[in-house]
Amino acid sequence: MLFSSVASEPSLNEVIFSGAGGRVSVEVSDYERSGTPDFHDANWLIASVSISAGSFSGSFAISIGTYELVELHRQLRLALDALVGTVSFENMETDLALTVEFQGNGKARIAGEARPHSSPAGTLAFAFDSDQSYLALTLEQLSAILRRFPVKK
Amino acid sequence: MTELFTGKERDAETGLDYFGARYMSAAQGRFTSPDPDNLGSIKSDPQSWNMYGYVRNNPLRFTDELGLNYSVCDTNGKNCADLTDSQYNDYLKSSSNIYQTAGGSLYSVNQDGSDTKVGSATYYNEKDVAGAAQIGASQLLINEFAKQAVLNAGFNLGTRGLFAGLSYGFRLYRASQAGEAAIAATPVGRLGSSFNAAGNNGEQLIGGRLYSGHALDRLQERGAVPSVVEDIISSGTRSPGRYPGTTEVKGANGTVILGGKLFGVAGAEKVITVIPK
Repeated sequence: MLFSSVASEPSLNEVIFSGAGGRVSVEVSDYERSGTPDFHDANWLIASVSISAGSFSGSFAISIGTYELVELHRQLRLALDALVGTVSFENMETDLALTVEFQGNGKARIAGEARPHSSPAGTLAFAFDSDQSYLALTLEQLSAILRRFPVKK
Repeated sequence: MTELFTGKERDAETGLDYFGARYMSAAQGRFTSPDPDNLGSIKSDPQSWNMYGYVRNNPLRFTDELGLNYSVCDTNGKNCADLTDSQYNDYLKSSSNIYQTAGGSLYSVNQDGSDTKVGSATYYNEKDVAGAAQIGASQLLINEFAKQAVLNAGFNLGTRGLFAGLSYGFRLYRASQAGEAAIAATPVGRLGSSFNAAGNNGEQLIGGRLYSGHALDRLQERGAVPSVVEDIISSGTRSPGRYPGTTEVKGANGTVILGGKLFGVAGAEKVITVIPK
């Protein structure tokens, strides 16, 4: 994992999970391949993950399928509607695992682990508290990304 | 014997591919004996410590025709000399005041303590060089392979006469080593092109197995060979993938994600991605 400063202003292609003392952002830059007829190859996205948790921060490149973001969006929308339950996300290549556990009263606990394949020894586990106001914004950001990078069929 | 991987002969009894100095086990993706003298190892490049590795564990990208090959060029990347491993090894042993940076540049240490860049040493791939020539490239440099050249080796090409009679036309001059760290940090690949750049591969059928372009990219980046994938698929534990139509196969050497039909989109089963250990 490369240590770097974490941008404070979100981009249009960025989804951010933030809260007290922590921030995880996934910024999608583009489809990995354009024009390929293959469903699998056509839906990989090039993305960058930046994590700031306590005094630790880092960023690394990641590949995420469009359908993985669709599933994350689905889970997060349902959890936000009910304000209960747990959102579980782990990308297919297991670089990034993330859970959002709603704890009632609109509070949520975000925990996860970054395991960039480019740096097998560089694993970062993190956890921080968030709430529905942050996560509602996260859902909007995720929706915007999916509009920009829809599942290609 | 039959001709198989990279055109080398495969011993029918042992299943090993003959690479001149060493045998390579396709099943393991490794040479069966260490690189002589582990010439390529450098402190800053752990991958180079592996004396058994085949082409830095990137067989989809690189081949090693003779077991080892080096290209030594002038500071402009031209007037290159192609050397066998033994030639290069002899050359290094005969030199005394030269060292190589992790980026593959060769420097001499002057009497006043300053450094002079005298050229570059690149571990290269014969097929890739030929391919580069076809597309008009003057030279193919593979940074990671350059790291395998030599560490703290002597270099005095003009006066020691190691290459006397070979007439490679080197011109040695002084320069600074500043900035080499940045080059060393560049991932494996053609000079100036990150090895992990996406979109390099297309869908391919390898050994009867269909691979997505993304999967092939991953194999290259992570230094695994198709035989490793086959081993995982044949001996690993299968379970439904987390997305409809996908299958996850976990083996001792990593995980393979197979997919054929996702979200109602039909397609032949193929390797979607590979996560080697």
